[in-house]
Amino acid sequence: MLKDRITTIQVALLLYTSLVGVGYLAMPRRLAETAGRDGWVNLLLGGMLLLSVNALLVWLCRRYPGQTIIEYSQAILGRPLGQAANILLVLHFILMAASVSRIFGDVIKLYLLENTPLEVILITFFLTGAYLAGHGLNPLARMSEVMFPLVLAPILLILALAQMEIDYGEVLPVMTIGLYPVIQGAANSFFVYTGFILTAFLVAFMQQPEKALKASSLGLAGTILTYLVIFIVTLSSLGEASLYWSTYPVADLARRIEVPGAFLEKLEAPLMALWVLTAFTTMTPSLYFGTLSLSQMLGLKEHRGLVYLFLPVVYQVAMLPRNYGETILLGNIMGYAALAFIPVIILLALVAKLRKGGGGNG
Amino acid sequence: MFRTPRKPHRKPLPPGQKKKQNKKTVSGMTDQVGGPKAEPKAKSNDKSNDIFPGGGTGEGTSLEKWQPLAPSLADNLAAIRDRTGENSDLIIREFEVALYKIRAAVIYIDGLVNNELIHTHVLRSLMTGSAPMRVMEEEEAPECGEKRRPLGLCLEGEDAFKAIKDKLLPIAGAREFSTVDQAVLAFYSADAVFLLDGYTQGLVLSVRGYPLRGVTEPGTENLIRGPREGFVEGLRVNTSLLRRRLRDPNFKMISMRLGRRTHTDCVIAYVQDLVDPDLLSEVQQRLAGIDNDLILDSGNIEQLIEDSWLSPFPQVQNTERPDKVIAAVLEGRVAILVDGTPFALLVPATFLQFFQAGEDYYERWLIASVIRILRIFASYVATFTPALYVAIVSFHPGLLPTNLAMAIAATREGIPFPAVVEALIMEVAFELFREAGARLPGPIGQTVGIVGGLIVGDAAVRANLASPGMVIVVALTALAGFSIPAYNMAIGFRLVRFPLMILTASLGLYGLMLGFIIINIHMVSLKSFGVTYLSPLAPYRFRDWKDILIRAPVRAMATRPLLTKTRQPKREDSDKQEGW
Amino acid sequence: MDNKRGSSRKNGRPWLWFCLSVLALFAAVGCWDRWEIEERGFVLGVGLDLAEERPGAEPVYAITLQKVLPGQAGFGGGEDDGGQGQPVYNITTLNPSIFAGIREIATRVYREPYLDDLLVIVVGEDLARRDLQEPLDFFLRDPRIRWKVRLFVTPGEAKDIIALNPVQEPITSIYLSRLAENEHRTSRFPPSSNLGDVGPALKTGHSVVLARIEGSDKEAKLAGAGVIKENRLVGWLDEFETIGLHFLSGEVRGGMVAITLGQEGQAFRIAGVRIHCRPRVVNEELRFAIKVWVEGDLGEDHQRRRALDIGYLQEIEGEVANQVKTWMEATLVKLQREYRADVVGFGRQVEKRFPGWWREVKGDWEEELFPHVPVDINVSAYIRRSGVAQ
Repeated sequence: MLKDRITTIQVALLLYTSLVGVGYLAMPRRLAETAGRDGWVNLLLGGMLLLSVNALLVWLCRRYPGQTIIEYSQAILGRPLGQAANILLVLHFILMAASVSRIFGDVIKLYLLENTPLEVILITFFLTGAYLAGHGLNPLARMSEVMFPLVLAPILLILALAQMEIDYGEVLPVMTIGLYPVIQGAANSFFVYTGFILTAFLVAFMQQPEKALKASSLGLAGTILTYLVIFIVTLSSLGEASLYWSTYPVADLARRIEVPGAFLEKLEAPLMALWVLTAFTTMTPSLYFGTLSLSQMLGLKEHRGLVYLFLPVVYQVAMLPRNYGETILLGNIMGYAALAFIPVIILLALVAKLRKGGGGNG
Repeated sequence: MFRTPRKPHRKPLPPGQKKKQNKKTVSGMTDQVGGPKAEPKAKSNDKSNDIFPGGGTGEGTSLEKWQPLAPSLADNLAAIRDRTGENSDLIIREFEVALYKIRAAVIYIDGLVNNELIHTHVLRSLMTGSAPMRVMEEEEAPECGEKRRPLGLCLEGEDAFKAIKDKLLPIAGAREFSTVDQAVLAFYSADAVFLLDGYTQGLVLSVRGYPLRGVTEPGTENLIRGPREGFVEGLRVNTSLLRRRLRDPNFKMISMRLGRRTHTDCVIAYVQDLVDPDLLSEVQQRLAGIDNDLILDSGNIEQLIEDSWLSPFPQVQNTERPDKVIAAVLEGRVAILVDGTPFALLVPATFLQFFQAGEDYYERWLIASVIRILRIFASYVATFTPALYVAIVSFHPGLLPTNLAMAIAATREGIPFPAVVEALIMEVAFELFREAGARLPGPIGQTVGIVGGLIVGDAAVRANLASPGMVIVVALTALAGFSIPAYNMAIGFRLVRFPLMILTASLGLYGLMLGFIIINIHMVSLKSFGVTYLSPLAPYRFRDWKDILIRAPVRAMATRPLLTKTRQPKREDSDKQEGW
Repeated sequence: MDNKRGSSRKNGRPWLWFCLSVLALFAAVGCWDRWEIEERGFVLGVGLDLAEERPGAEPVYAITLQKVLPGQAGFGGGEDDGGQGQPVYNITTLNPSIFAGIREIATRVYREPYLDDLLVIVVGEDLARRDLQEPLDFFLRDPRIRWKVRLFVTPGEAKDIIALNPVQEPITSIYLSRLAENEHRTSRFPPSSNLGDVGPALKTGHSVVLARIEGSDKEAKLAGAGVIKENRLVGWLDEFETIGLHFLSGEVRGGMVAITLGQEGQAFRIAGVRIHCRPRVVNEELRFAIKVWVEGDLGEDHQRRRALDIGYLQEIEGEVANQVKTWMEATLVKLQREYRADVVGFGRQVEKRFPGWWREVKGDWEEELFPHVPVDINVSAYIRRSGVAQ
């Protein structure tokens, strides 16, 4: 099962494309809701937390070379406790795939296909994802390499075009509400970094595990930077008021932009089209690693067929929310689940250190 | 290579079953086409022996059934006649070797050999050479001090067969053989067979002289600048075109025969110290695994050795250009040349290589880069424009500027079909024109193109069957498709656009993107001879990026592509032998 | 890896076939959103009026849609089509909900209204004075409607503006939106009068201005502005006050300054404006200092003095600066005293500079503080070129 080997760049890009996902359309509003203009401080603080947790995670993975978190968590905590943590992980992946695709489906329905049933959008999306996940990790990693420019392109395009009518003064004043709400908001805003747990799997597959920290930090730092720039540009271009008021501020940013002498009139439709790719590269890894976790937990040799058993569960969860508010709630649960991994990782690292487990150079 | 006649003959390997032997000939430079001489013996272990028992020319039977030559010429000729039956093109010329007074025969296929060679170098050499000639030669060289031994003086002591081979037959290629079946195969392969009464050995004489097309400009890969020579149908001509361009002693061309009945000669060409040995043995194993009785073109081989035959995209490159083959083998790739076709195969092939034209390297880099970007853009246009048209017209007209949207709306007014049906009709019609034009002789083909493009297009618009926008889209698709240098890649794109249109017709832009994703998933999972198809785009190999989107200046391309050399060590044998 | 690939080759890629067949199934069954372009009733302009208002009940809107008949409008390009008949079709419906009103038109028109290409929304004065947020909510909520839809307010009935019959362009809405594209040539109407800029302000209750449009039979005039405060129209700015407003907010993108020096007239073309506006506290009192730098060309001069004369040019520059300052002051007086509407965004400047204080006074800003803030205006004008005639 661990025969697949991925390169250093692939790890960085896989992390980047998995993290920069559906969230970014709504991200500025959700940050503005908790921290107003200071949302970028939230992002930065959350990002620092993210990078340090990631470093801990890499350290842990390097102690158990060639093993994923599913395997070494049992080695560290013992089988029952480890399996409990693993169940949490599988649930997290189910939740992540479901929430991502649900938000995706809602946005597609809103901007592109008004009358098409959500079921159709989700099922086609899931089947395409399963098609890739069924091919294994290497094609998945290669796919993220191919998609990376296309994930980046709409973001860069919007950000560049937004520069024409922008007032960076909108960011001012900074930190007027005090430090404590900002720190509180940082925890709340951690949802944007859901998916960082992929590192715990990827390190096991690396060709050069010694570069794991560099690769994963690069991918995560890229994500943090992307979110920061998106937030600041969206805020500066639309103003704080619009951030509160708009469901998808980044789409509204695209809506506002006039392309000089352009063939295409509405920028948000092509944005949404490219954004399909972004959503896809976010959803598929969680599908793949969810299946992988499950099969490793159960000790199965072959996990590719499992995707199709996994899908109906994800689909059911994705269809649970009855409206946009509940979709956001689903996303929040996912975000808190991501936050809940931090103590788990710290616990794992502590126990591993005390027991001096693992043969790798930790 | 000397072999005494009385020695028990070796059992040569049946041609078609060369599974093992090629591994052993890799190192040796055996630049010989066909002929059993170069083939070391190997035990045949191919299961297919039982599937094709005893064909018309005797090959395909197991080793034990190979009939050795009898000492009697008459018996041998009878055996040969028995094998061939009544064949009007088979010439069996019996005569007497004047010097030895032994009956002999030359057997060849009329039209495949050079008659002049047979007359002057075989028949005349052997049928003359009587006593007066000996005397003359004896008298001519008295002043040399040492008297030259006159020809034929040792007539009694010397072996006639050896003497004929060594002294009397001024033919460059003469190889010994010892079975009837080899004889049959030899003259069917355009060699002449010489048999001598009383010997269980014969000679295969290289006197090929069948008609061949002259070396002309390649028909499918036109260049404005660059060598004008293209491959022809003759394998030897083609290898000579290659050898002339690459004088490196490491440049190897090993041969094998494929096709249970056609016995087509093939040559695997590579540069010994550049090629990845794994790749080479992979190529050889896949070729050896071919078990088909009909190999007429490299296309037959391509389909039997490619990785994924379900894919619409080609995983083997073909070319008519010797310079392209040389460039490829110098990148560490392997070329497969097949007798009877001007198309050589290049493996491994990656997606982006299909967008490289020879001219890219002969023109200056800036121009070449711009043109290459244009080609890649063209591939997108050829694949996605009709689907995009459907998506915009049927789903998201808001994408267009108001004026344009209403212009399209105005022209579509009165057209009875939805956009997708209109697009399908027009695209199918275009494919029909293209196919009709391609099959018709040159001038008429052009006429069909004009009739199709101008008259039918215009009439369709006037009859309210299609909108002018659709005609433009079809024309654009066609042009873009033709600007992709590799025909087999272009045809793949053309095929893909139909499912894309259907997907788009049901889900709009989202469907289009889904189609795009599915194509990409397929491509990232494809491999060509162990190399990932989208390499060097996925996985990233930044060093190779100089030659994909842009063609970097020649000075900047000092390094060879890593593509074929730095493969990840994860190949497994199971990949290679399964059902072709 | 290769192992898997080998086996999948043998099995003929069941995943691929499964996916393809399912996708093909969907393709065969559904095209829920297919709506051919020619079946869409392009609505390019919307006029909103107040039809009737009874106390205690929702007001009834008169919604006028301008639908375009593309075949009639000469978009076809051919010689044989286009030209005959009216290219546009205006239809008015009464409904207390904009959304419902537009949808209910399906009872009268067979091509469903399609609003993606909407270019202008004109609001009648009666409706604007009542409330703007309610009628515009639909347009702000629909993700398909562009944000650069021009938003005009007219002193009369919006229906009449939509029904104009302009000579220059057969489709009124296109004519109106083209007029608004002249924002670079004149400063007499606010350039940011579109859905994207006004929408958030309406949601949050900020004061903004909308472009004012008036129509005669064959023509419209786009000049002046309507001041929107707390989502309703509180009054008008005339053309020159609008120019002054633009100088205050730094939004001037072009236009002219005509002055008279002595008896003769001069015209100055504005090429560039830079503005610096900052609040400061002097003697415990909030003051605003606005510095404006205007540069441009001398376009016309009725005097016989040589334009090479530096002293003469300085005279003109001084007069231009005076003129601009006069406009700005007039606008300020109107905004501060009459409308008490901070459409320039002084409050935002205060927030940036004095965030702590701003949070205390935010609620009272427009009514209590803004009308009494002293503003020091300092204008400098520069003539960069004076043409080829001396």
